[in-house]
Amino acid sequence: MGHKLGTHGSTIAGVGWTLYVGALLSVSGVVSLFGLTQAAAKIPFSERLPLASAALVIGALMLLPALMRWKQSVEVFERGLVWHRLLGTKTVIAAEVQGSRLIRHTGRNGQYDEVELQFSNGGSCSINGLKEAEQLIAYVRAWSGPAPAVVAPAAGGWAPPVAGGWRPPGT
Amino acid sequence: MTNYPFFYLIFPAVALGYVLFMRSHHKKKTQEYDEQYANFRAGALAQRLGLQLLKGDPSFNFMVTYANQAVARGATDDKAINIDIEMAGTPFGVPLTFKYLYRVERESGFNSTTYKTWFNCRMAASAKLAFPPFEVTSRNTSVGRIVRQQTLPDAQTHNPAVDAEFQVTTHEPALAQLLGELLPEFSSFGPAGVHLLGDGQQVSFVMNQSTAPMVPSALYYAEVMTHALSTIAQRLGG
Repeated sequence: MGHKLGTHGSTIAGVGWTLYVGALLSVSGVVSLFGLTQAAAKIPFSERLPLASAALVIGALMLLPALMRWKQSVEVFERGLVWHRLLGTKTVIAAEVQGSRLIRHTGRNGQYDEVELQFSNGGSCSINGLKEAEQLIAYVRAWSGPAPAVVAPAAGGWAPPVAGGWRPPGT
Repeated sequence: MTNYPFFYLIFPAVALGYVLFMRSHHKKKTQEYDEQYANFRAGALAQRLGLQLLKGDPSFNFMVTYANQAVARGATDDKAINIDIEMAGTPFGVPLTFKYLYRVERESGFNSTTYKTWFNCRMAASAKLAFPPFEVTSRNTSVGRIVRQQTLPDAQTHNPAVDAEFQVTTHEPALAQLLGELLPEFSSFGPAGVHLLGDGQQVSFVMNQSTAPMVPSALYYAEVMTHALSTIAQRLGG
């Protein structure tokens, strides 16, 4: 995929209320399960268990989007990218990418960028919450951009036109 | 009515008055700035740079975009913002174009509003002969990193001052070395930032809306831009 151009980290900005409610539910689940407060300790474990388990499971599910956002990064190369995610790694080859869009989501929860990649096989994928998403989309667009003009090969590489040749009028 | 305290009635009136005053004040200030930077209106800028305005509103001010009614009003579902300006000429013997496109479409949904934005602003000088692609970006700007648009490897210009100020990327060492001689003219842009893109036929100075180099700060050096771009296009492609 050529040499590496950069790495994009991620941000949990814009995840929203699920982050706070999920954290509260998880903490309350742990407190209830292990009887960490006097009030919880007075209740028999068998009675605490169902509610505590439910709080933990729901809390963890609510924290999952934030966790997936947080534990991701994208390495960009000259002809592709590698998307490291919590649940595996995805490799995208430049030739597979047919189109791309940068979508900025703004709402009461905050703001985050989404990079949407459309593939030649009809599929697509969205990478949410990356830092410097504009740079990533610019690289992706460079893959599919027009090929640079052909320069006639010269011995020893390219050389600028000879000095003293063409000059602008009046100079 | 008589049971309500006096300030229950006076506060909304004061708030409304304040809002109206601020709107009027903002409008007046915008007009003042538009006059102050009148030389950055499309028509005046084209004349100043020796270019001809081919397309667009000659009164559009690149420094004070909010002076334009469409921009100030914002996009609606029925009417998009569409600023499309083009100027061209050969002030230094090299074909030079300046293009500015700002288009915003709005779609209101049930619980969300989608804005689709197109922005492209660049001044480009055309070369007679093809040259290898390259990209130049300032290493430091006042508004963060410049978004690079090509996937080219870093190259040394062998001019320490230029290498310290700019990041040059190209496959051709000879081209990087030549840029080392030409780029000092762009040093006057300072923290405004420089973003040059050589696509093989044209050398463009790319300007952005929210990232460096931003349109107003870059166009402040419009004269330098036209001359320096023309010089690079001449030296690279005759």
